[in-house]
Amino acid sequence: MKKSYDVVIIGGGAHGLGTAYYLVKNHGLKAENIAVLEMNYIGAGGSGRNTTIVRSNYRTPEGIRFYERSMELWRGLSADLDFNMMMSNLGHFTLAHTDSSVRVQRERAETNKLLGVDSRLIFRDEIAELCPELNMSMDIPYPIEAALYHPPGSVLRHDAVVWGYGSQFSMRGGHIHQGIKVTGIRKDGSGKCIGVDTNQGPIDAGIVMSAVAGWTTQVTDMAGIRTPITNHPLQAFVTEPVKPLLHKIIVSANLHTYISQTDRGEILIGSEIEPYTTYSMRSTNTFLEHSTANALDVVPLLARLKIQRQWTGYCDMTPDFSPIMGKTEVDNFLIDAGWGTWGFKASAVCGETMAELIGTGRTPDLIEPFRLSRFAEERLVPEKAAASVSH
Amino acid sequence: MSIEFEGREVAIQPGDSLAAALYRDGVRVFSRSFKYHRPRGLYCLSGDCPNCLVTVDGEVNIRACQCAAKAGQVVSRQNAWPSVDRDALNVIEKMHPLMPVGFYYKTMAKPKFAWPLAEGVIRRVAGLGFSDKSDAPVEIDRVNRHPDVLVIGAGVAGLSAAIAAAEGGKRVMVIDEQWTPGARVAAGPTKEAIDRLAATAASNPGIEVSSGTAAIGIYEGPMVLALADDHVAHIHPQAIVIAAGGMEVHRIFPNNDLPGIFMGRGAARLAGAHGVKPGERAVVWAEQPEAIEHARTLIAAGVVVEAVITAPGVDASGVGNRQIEGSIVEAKGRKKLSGVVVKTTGGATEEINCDILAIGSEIQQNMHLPRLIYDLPCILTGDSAHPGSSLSEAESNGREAGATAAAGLPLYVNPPASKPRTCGTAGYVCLCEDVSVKEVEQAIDEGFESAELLKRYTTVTMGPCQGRLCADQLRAIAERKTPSEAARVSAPTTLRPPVRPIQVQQAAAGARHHIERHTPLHQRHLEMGATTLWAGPWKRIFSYGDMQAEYEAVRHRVGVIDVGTLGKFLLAGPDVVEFLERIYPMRIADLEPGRLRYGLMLEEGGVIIDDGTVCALEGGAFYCTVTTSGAERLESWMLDWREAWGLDVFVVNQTASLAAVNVAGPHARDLLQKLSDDPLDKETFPYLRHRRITVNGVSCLAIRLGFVGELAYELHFPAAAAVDMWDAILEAGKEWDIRPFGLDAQRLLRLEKGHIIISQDTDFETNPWKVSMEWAVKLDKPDFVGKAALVRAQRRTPRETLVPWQMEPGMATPPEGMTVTIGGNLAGRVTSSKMSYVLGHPVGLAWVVTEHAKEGGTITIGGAPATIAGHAFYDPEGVKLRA
Repeated sequence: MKKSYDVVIIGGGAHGLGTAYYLVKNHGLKAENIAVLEMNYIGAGGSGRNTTIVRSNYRTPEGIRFYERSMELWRGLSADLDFNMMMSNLGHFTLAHTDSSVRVQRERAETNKLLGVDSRLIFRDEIAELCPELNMSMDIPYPIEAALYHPPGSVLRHDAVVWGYGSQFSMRGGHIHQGIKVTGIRKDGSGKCIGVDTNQGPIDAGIVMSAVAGWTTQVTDMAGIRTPITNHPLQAFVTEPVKPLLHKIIVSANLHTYISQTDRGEILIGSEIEPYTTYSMRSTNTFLEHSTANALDVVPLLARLKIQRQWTGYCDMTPDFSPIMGKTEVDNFLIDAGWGTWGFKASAVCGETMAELIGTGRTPDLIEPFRLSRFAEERLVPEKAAASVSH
Repeated sequence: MSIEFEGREVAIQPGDSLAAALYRDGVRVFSRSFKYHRPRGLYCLSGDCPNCLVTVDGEVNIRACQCAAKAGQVVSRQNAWPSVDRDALNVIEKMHPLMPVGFYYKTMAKPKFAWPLAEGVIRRVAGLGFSDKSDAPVEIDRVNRHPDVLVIGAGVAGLSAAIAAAEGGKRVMVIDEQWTPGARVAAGPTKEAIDRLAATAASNPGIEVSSGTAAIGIYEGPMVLALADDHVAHIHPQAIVIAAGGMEVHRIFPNNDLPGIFMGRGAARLAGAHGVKPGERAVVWAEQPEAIEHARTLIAAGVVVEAVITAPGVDASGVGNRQIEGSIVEAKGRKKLSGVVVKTTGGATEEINCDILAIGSEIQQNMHLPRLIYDLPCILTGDSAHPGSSLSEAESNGREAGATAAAGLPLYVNPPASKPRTCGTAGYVCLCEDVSVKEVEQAIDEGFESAELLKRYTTVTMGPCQGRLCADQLRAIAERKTPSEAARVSAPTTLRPPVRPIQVQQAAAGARHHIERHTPLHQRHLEMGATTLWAGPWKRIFSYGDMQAEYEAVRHRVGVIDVGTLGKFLLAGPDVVEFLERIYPMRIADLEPGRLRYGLMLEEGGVIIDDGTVCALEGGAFYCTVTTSGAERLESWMLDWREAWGLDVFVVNQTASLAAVNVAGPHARDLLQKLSDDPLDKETFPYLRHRRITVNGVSCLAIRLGFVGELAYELHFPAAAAVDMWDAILEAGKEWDIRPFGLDAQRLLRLEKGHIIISQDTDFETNPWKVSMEWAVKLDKPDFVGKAALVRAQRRTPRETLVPWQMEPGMATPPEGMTVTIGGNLAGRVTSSKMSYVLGHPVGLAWVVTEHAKEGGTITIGGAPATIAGHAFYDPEGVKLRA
């Protein structure tokens, strides 16, 4: 570890490593002058705990453009990094079981279409044909009425993203330090950020970027910055692997469940964030009960599959369900946060845009709407209807 | 008695597991491995390894060694084509050198078309069993149990703990995953001890032993999730004693996965507990004294023990044909074990022919349950605390734990810090995922140096065994390869529930229901042919079949709607006015008894979260209504604020105890006057007033409101009187051809008035300024929730504004949710739209970018032109509702 770097990135997840990679690749920064500091092991946080869905059928034009760019990057990323992300283009269904949900999904479909995203509202007959595993009975409390169908929706191996970016950055000479905890943000007399303190000593830096998602409030506290972020746990589970059973990515907004089958054959099921805030990563049985009950309402044939493992991650939620990216009131301290339940699918575009910000000093148009100051300016980017549950 | 196994009958005996019955019948290969399709046989017989996963009656991944054989079961093996005995996919193993760990990550990344082509094949080859596509969940009971002390594990330590705790006066529950205590222990001193303790426990009325009940997880509470044959239990004890026992360490050497290689306890179980002879000639590897018992069990079953290989200090004298101090370094054989290579302490190697190897290795804790304790009141005992305890140690240690639990002494224990195991230099680390030592080492060379990264990259510990066999071995390899960073790279990986696999439908036991709330009139509505829809937790009435007729009745005659789902609150107390002044943005203090006001509710950001009315009652109390979906949330919201402010206010939720109906239409007064002697005339009871009146003999709070734009009386009265009131209103209204109306008609009626519905027309950034409701906010009040944000927002032009719009007659009504465009660019979205019968053209509400949100402006909705209107479409002066 050197005593000084041009850029120090806190957080060795997909965002931090992606940013480091694109800084070298797109902006010609010297890899050996960039350090990624990870307090645990790379990908230990949200990057390795999410449910691996990527999609761009968001609600606002700002969100749609941003995630659509991410989709473009995902499609080429395996080749770009020479590391197979195992992207599976299964197609993504957001089921609607109530008339208000149909209204929301139609709004998304229409806005998506207008902005060139392949997304449409489909109804019962077409749903049954495209996804015969679904429970199409009308004689249940929440019959499926319609679905937002997003054919490009895919899953990919989340760890591969971390490793792909990490290995390319590392091969070019970049510094990834694991097991190092940042304990302070150093500032000079004018309040400008000049580096970080760590449990292994201080490091000087021209630019410090925080890409720590669920740990954001701890880092921003060190920097003396306030954000409207609250930290909620989000849980998921997988079943033991079985032969191909479910061929689409299924999300139910009303029943707070999302279901897909991995390349390895496990059925992966997730839910809504827990309503309480905590920094505990303990799993709960309440989650298991409700997520299984809701999943069975939608896909009954999962009944006798065996649950193999449940786990928990953190979600740094923002009031408008959009991220917080870019410059802050502390010069040379940049933030990439507010990743709630939508961080993984954005990791490619985040790396690219944050690298552009660092490399050029200018905030790219794609992330300008996500600036921290928007909360004070009342310029929210309301993605609640599209982001919650629909991971 | 028999089962059907892959098309033939296999006899079963009482007490058989499927594994025992099949093994007796000659089955040796129970599965093919996940990746390389290597043949795998019985190994642990404890449910700890993946080797005996079979499909039973269409259910995949059943552990044959844990599943009781029952006559008629249909059983087949998994993950092989065409069959487990002759697996063509075994060719994958031949490609082994070409398929290193991380193979998929490294290949087919380029060209772009390669992976999509390969992926389908890989998906088909992955996975274990074929799940039944016609499966449907069955309802499974969930019970709650509340013993004082829960003991997990009915072995020597567990039973001793239970007895001691019961002697301490506690009600004790013991759960154990075996069919009966000691069912899988071969005859011998351990079995005798368990039998003796089980008999003592059975005779103690304070102890309940639930066999066949597996602990699935320990959660906060503490709550132990347990799975029995026919139900799921939530057990809520004061204290938990974990006596979950130990297991032999998975030993790794070349060919350590061959059929014929058993864990010591597994071989003894097969021979001693099930009476099935595991083979003809055995080698027993005795790293600890218990293994000598296993050797004796095998000999008693008629197996020739060719040799006992002992660790230094283990006395095997007189057991087996030979005793050699040393260790096993390699197994020989192709499809099954044919011999082992022994390395003596002196360094010599020797090959011994055998068809069975029983590995009585060092005992380690069953780690999974202990690692779920966190800070919960648990105590570990027996092998869970001191792996490799002798019988007498286990018994005294168990008694001590039971007494401690009974005394309620501080029970928090740190989960034991397991140490990385010694690990061989070749062989299979992970049986679930087919990962060898070499592959793990290669992954470390690639940079995946820590156990956590290795776990994810190589998938070791991520299969059905969840790391039972391999987690500590993985750590050992990491430590061996990077000794300088031992603490970091070999830190234990996290363990999570479930401890034993649980079906999705079992996990959902007791939770497969949805709350569906009905008003007291719900049955009446259904009898009248009503269709329903969800509104929050309520089922509300959509229509009675003819929406237009319902609408016409209200506009021209009279109609009645059930509004019992509204949230209804009575607020009183010394600080009630101050409280309401703070939670509502409009003025409350000047509201005289008998008057009412429309009130928005805002959150701190100034965003509208609900709306309703506030009625000032005689005597200083207030009656407030909120929306159908808001009631529950707003009750806790109000109570939160009350506590935060420390105000002396009672908030009484009357949502369920009161019914409410709204009688609306030009003849509403005429109708009610037939049922009431109280004055209802315009002068005595004008618009925006409320009065207590008697209708149909029932005292009602009557409120004059105008949501649908006509003369209307909203009656609130005890729920018990609802059906009589409803019937009486319909009867009295016959002369005007009254119609009950549903939400569909109501939505059009209000839309023609330009009234918004919170959450349909608003979203979570809608403040009053954006919906032109400045009149409902008094910024000159000292404070109210959301004021600061509204003051800030007032300085800015909102990006979007909600406006009414209309289309020309003859145009199709666009669906709600359509986009609004101007010049082809996205400019907003439609939140409400309906065909207006009174106007003869479509009307609606839409968010439009503020610069274009001007009366008379043209917008495009779904390709069709629409005009922005400036005011309510129907009766803009409000003459009708004031009638």
